[in-house]
Amino acid sequence: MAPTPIYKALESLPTSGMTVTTLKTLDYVVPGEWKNITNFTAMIQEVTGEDDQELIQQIGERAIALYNDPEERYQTAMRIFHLVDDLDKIAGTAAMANKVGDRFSFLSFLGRLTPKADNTQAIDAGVKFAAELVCFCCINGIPGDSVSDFARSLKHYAGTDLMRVAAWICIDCVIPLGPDFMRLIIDGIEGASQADLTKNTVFTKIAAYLPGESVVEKQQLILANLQANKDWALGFVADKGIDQRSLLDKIRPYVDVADDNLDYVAAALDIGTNYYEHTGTQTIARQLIDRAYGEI
Amino acid sequence: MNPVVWSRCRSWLTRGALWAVVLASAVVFAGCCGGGGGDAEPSRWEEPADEGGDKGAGEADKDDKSEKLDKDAVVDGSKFNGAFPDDGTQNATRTFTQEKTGYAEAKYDVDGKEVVKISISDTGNNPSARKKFSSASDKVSSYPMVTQGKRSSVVLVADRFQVKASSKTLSPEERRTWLSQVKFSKLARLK
Repeated sequence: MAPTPIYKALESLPTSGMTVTTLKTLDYVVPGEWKNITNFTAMIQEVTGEDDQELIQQIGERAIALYNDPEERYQTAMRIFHLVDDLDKIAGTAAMANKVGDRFSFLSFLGRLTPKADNTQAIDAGVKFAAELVCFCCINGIPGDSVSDFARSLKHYAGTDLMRVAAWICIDCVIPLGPDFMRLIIDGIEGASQADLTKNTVFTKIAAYLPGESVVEKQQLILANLQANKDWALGFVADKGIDQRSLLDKIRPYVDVADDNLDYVAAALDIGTNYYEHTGTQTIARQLIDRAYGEI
Repeated sequence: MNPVVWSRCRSWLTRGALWAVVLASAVVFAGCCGGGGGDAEPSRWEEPADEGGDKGAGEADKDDKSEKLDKDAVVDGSKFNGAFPDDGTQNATRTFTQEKTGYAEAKYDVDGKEVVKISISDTGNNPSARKKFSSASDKVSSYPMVTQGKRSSVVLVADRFQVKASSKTLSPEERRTWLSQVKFSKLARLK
């Protein structure tokens, strides 16, 4: 089946809702880095700075053609970005429908919110970060297990990419796991048996895209990726002054889950947002446009 | 008609009319607000997207299909790396950002801010790119150079490899200076 063209994927992203509200809220962590551009022409103008319509048309057409070629691996990155998000569309829609004032209310279906055990949360976070590595390689063309290249590039992450990693740190790491999140994630992955991993929903969904023949090899890649970027992530949290309390203060005004139980807030963010898919689509569109501009 | 039956019929008719109004309003409202859905007029991007495949990159490309190289014949992007201006050129830090078949790109930052982006591509991927050089009157190191749009200066090396300097801040003259730092002879040998 033909993929959804990249311009349609970008233009179908929402301009409001819980994902967008969450990302806008996290602007205080990475100020000005993310703009919610959901129009393909506007994205071309933003990336290239060009305003000649004929030139914009050429760039857009080339970007669309590049995306349509499966060998270019942009479609693979898109699939992975979709798969790692745990968005429960029914819950997300219900939260939207239950919006009271500016708050997305989960009160009427708290039963759907199942806080994850710490170990599951840790494995999910580790696997999601490996997904970021694989997508980075698919989009930028570096071999799929190039942990060291990714680690070098992470230091230069900016814009939409930086927002996605910031959201991962805040939503998937600090809120559910606290300040010791890196140790918990590394221990969780290191101590996971093959059965633990093959039972993990996020791992199961993206395992086929992780380099390595066996579960053990994929586990080693996830671990190597965490080890290589551990100091960067901890430094980021320290530099930005991110902690559970400050995040909760920012998120509670728009997420209503009855009390301040962080596990429930984490669960609500997990099922109510798809920030990987949202920012991932924007990243892919940006990189395609950038390359198309270079090639035309 | 029995007055009770008539009263019920009238009540149903009224309700029916009300629902009709509500439904019609909903349809009109959805029509007004469904801008993102693109029902009103086709998107400017629709045609190339619906053609599908990697070969339908616009009208210009269609003319050049015969010149398009097989994937295997296109030079791998990693081979271009040695031709880029060195790290430290004009006190800038070089970071390679993309490396695909027939394409490589690096950005050059000074004090953490991007100054220029250099890309090298094999026009075997996109032959129509060569057309713009037919009217080139300018040269860099004996290779034809053109300005493209507001932000780019482009050189064609060995009638095949396109080198582009793009910047949101530099003048055309400054972009040209950056282009002159590219190791064209290394590129020409890749043909």
